[in-house]
Amino acid sequence: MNDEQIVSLYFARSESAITETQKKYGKYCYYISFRILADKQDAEECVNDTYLKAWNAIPPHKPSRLSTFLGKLTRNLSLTRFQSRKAKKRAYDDSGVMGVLRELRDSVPSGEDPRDLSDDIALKEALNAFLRSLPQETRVIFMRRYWYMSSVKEIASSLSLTESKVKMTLMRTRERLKEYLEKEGVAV
Amino acid sequence: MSEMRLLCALGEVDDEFIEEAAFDNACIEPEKRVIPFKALAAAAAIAVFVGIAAVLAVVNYKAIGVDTPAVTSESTPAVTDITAPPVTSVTDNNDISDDKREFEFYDVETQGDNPASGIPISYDEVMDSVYAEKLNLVRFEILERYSSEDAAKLNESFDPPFEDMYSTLYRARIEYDYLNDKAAEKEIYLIQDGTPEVMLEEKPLYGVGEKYVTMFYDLRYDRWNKANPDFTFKFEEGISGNILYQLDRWPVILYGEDGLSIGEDIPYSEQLRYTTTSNVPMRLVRKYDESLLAEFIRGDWRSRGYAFPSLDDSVFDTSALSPKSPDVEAPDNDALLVADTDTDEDINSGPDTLMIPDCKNIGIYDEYFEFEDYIDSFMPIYEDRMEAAETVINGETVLQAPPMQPDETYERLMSDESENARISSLCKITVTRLLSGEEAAALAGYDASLGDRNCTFYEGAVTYDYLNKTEMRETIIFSMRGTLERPCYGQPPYAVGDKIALVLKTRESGSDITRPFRSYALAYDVIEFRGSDYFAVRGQSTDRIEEGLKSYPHSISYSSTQTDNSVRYFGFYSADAIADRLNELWSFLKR
Repeated sequence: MNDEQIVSLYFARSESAITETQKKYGKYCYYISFRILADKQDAEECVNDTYLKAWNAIPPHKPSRLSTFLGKLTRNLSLTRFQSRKAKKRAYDDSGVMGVLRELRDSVPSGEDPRDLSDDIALKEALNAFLRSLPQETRVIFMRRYWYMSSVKEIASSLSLTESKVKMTLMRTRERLKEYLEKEGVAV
Repeated sequence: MSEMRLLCALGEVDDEFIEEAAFDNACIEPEKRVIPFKALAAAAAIAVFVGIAAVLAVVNYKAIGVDTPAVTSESTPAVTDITAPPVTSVTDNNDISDDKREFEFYDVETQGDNPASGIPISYDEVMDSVYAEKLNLVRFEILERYSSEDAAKLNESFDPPFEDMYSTLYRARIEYDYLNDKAAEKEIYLIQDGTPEVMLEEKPLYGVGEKYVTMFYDLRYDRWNKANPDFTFKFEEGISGNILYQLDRWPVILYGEDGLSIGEDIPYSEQLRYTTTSNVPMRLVRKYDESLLAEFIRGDWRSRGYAFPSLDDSVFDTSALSPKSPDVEAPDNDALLVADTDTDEDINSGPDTLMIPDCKNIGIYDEYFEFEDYIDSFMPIYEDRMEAAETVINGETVLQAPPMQPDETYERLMSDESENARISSLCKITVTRLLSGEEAAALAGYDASLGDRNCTFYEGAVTYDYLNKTEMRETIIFSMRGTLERPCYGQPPYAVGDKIALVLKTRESGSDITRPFRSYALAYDVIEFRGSDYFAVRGQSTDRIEEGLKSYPHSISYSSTQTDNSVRYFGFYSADAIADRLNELWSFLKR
């Protein structure tokens, strides 16, 4: 079933929309969630929450790309859960989001803390512009690491690169991102 | 937490980036899988070529260097001699079935990535993969393609063997040495990925009689060789000069001194040429005039300070590239009266499997240092450097040597007048021996009681002064913090043969004996690379001395030959840049 048909099921309020979504994107969503939470049960719960969110959002929302729509929902839900669990001092493996967060410290520019929604919008636009400026391979590596939270080993293997190359690319890109955000005056 | 905000914000980037980075494990829809990387890469490739063509058309660009006719619908280059090896080109797939020419191989199975994926590579990146000591640019002719059985027999004599059943072995003859601009006659063994049964996409097997130009990574006559995948050209004789057609998916564009590119892109629709197989065309992306390309390479490599070795010297001993020269000769000097000590033996008996990065495993890539794979094992050290505060060696917590704060060295330097001493030189020093504290005190007049118990005393041969840019031939004794037993964290003692640079100052007494400006500041490890020296900053954070200089900012660690303690670097700088900066400061001090 293609995406348009699945979205139609949501609009028809047919519960098979969830079943078809699960068939097609269950693994995708689970991967995203598990990379963040490093916990099977938490990830499964997050994926179920994703289906519920999607059910509530469609309609009226009609996603142009169902995959990324679901991916974003899963990612946001998982990060929210991660933060709440972290507050309870639960440990997470370094290969998950903790390692990613530590790396991203390199990209945080110094300056004032963000204050309002306009800062969020500016940051999103800056990130889009930054990503657009990157060579494709660099962008894919960056997104695989910081959007999908894939491990360096996994990225290297799937792109036929050495881990060293991936690490170096990530390090350089983080540095460039920091420079870019500073230059653009974007607070993080 | 700012990084969490950044991570969340990344979640909201445009869908196209998310889709582009999707992958098999995460992208479930079968028909979707073709979308993300390869298809977009192919589209990007087409777009790039179309874009280049459009730009060239708009600016009425005329590439220099190739005597080329106007682009026509004829896909075979018009300059190609009719006596050249048969080459058929096609403009679309329909032509394949109409081609009645006989090929060596038909309906070959292909494998490998979509050739349009990947990214363009620059000339500088190509150069990064070349060892300056092993340069070559040669033309070779395929003499014989070995059957798999013959290849297997030959393979027994190779060291290392090529244990790849998906390769094909050839006998080839190097017939021209472009660097030395003279004919050659050297037979070599050559391997190529692919077999008569299975070939890589757009990588047909070489045909006997075909000629190619390449730079071999490490040309050896006693083993197999492989053409540089990023810099190989198909050679064809031309009426008004020989033409080199660059293979592979992306052209390496060379720019002359006037900023114009040398050579000419081949239109996308004309890039595929059928040579030895009926269904695996070779992609030729750019063409060059042979003599102009060779002239460019010679000039460029000369400007990089490379010497052009003879092909007769092309059996290299890679161990000669080790930065630890075993036969460092210390110049004559009275300070060398100290007899050998047991310490020297200790130096040489240390673990030596992991050496200082040298030109074998360190290169410059896009203003960064690039490390080869086996440095991988040290990356976690780099990544965790902020967390790692202490280390235990041989059951003992090592002496902590907190890095100097930024500006501290600078401030000390600026107030140096008050110490009645002055900077005199930035010297390149080769460590020639280690001395006991007592020996050093007796010979050089150091007061061993002045906190030097935690120091190691070295004797070094001074060979160059970076500030005055003069050769030197002196010996000094100097001390640096840390001992074999109690090394400073991140600053293991030096070994004999290590090359370092120290800022020296004249002692207040006015005697000739110099000593480091400060024992662990303004001291650099010297990495010699392609005829230039680079300074690696040890165990200190970036100082104002280096501030603003073009840096190679990767911090790495590696094991010393001395102890388990790893060196920690906080930056890499050009030696000249550091010297210029110090000269500026010194000029200021003298005012």
